[in-house]
Amino acid sequence: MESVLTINHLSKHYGKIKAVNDLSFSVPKQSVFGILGPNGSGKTTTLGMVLGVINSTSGDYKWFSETPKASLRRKIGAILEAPIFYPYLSAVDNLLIVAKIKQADEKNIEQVLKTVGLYERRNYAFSTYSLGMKQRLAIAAALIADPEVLILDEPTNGLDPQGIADIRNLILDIAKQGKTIVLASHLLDEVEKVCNHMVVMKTGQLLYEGKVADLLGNQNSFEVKAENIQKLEEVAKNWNVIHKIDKLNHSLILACNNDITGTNLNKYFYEQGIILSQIQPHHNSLEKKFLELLNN
Amino acid sequence: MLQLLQIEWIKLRRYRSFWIMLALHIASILLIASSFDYFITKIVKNELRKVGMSLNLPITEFSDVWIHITWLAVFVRFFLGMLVITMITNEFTYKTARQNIIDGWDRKDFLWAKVAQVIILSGLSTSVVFLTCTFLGIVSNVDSLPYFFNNIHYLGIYFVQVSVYLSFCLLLGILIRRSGLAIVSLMGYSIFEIYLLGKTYNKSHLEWLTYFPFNTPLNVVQPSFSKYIPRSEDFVQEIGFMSTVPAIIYVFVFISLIYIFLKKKDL
Repeated sequence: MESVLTINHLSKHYGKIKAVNDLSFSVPKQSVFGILGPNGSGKTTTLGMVLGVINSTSGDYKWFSETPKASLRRKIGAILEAPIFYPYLSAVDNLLIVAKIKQADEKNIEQVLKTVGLYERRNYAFSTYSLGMKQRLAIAAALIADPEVLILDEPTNGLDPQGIADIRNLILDIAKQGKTIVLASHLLDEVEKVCNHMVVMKTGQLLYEGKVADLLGNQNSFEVKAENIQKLEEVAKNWNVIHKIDKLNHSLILACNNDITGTNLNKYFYEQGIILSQIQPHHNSLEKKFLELLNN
Repeated sequence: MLQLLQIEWIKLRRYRSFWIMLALHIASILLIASSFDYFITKIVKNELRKVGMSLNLPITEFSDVWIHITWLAVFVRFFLGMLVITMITNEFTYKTARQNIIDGWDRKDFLWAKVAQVIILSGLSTSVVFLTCTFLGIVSNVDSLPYFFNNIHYLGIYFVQVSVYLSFCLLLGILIRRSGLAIVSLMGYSIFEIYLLGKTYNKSHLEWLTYFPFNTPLNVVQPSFSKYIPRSEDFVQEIGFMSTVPAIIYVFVFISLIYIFLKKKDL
C-alpha cells in the first residue's frame, strides 16, 4: 500500500533519556492513523521530528516518498500540542499568516472559519477565545490549505463532551474526503472510535503496529441483562455458539461466534423463556489489549 | 522575500508595543535635533566667551549637521533594540516560531524574515535622521545648502551602526528567548562598552575601541567643537566610511551565529 509517511529507525535522545528510540513505521495513504500511548511515550516528540521542529538524533523519515523539505510541509495541516497563534491578532489575521506561509488561497479563510463555527467571532483577538474555540481555530488553520495529510495531536484535550463529539465528527467527515489523518492520543476511546490503523508506543518504543481491528481480534461480544441472571447464565452455558461468559455486576458478557447477531441472541433467549432487558455490543477489549501491551 | 515581509507585516501591524517603541525612537531623534543647538550653546557658552567667539556656531548647518545628529541619534537606537528583542522573543514565548516552521517555512525563511526587518528598521531610522537633518540644515542656514553632500556619508555610517546593534539584539533574543532577560543583558553589555569608552576618553589610542561592536566608530570619535575656534591646534578627526568595515563584519558574524543556533536548536 502507498504510504504518506515512512519513518526509519528514528531516535531522539536527550542525554541518557531516550524520548524516542529506534522507531519505524509507516502511515498508509487515506488511513485514519492513531498513535496511541500514555503521556511521555514520545508521541509529540515523534511528530515534532517529522514536522521539522525537533532535530532527530539518528534515523530518517520521508513524506510522500520524498526527502523532507519545507515545501512538503505546506501539504500537511498540523497541530502539535496546544493551539499556537499570535494572541493579540484576530482569527482572520492569524489564518492569513498561515495561508500565506502555506501559499494557500486566502479565500479559504472564510470557508474554514465557517466549517469550525468561528465565523461570527472572526474579528476577535485570539487571546479572548475559550479553550474549545482555540482548538477549533487550530483545526481551521490545519484545514486552510486543503491538505493531503492532517496531523492532530490530542485534538480533544480539554474540551467538553459536545466539543469532543463535534471534533470527532469533523475528523470522520474529513477522512471521508479521502484524506489521511494522523491522530496522536492517550485516549483509547478516541482512537478506537475514529482510527483504522494504529501504532502503540511506550517510553519511546513501538509496541504494536497494524489495523485496529486486528488488535481487537475477531471478537463478537455482547453485554446482556435479564431479570433472572442465574437462569440466563445457565441457558447461555448450554448454547454452543457462546464460547466464553464473563460476569459483571448485573450483566453478562457473551463472546459469541462471528455469525451471531443481537437478533439471534434475542430470539434464542426468548424461545428459552428469558426476556432480555438489555442487549448491546461490547467493546472494552481495546482497553484490555492496550493495558496488556503496556504491562508486558 | 516579499512574501516573508508581508507575513512579518501582518504579525506587527496590530502589535501595539511595536508602534509605541517606534514612535519613541522617532520622537527621541526629533527631540535631539530640535534641542541640540540650545544645549550646546548653553554648555559651551562660557568657554566660547573666553576666546571671544560669537554664540552662533554652525553646528546645525550643512555639512556639520550630519556629523552631530548622527552621533547623537546613535544613543537612542536603544528603543529599536527593545523592539527587535520583543519581536523575536515573542516568537518563542508564543511558540509561533515553531508553528511557522510546522506550517511550511524553512528555518532559513524565519532567519531572513527577521534579518530583513533589522535592515528595514535601520533604513527607516536612517531616513528619519536624513529628513530631520535636511530640515534642520535648511532652517538653520539656507546658504549652507551647497555643502549638502559634504559628509553625507555619515548617514551610511549611522545605518551600519544601527544594523550591527539590531543584529546583536536579534542574536540575544534568539539565544536567551526571554524578553526581560535579553533586554537586561543588552543594557549590561552597553554599559560595559560605555565604561570602556569612558576609561579611554581623551586619550589618543581610541582606534582599538572601534573593534567592539557597539562602539564602531561614530560614538568613539566625538565631534570636536574646537574646530570652530580659530587657530586651534586640536587635531580634528573625520570618520571615513571605511571605518565601518569591522562593524559590517560583525553583522555577518551575528547573522551566521543566529543561523547556526536556529539550525541546531529544537524549536
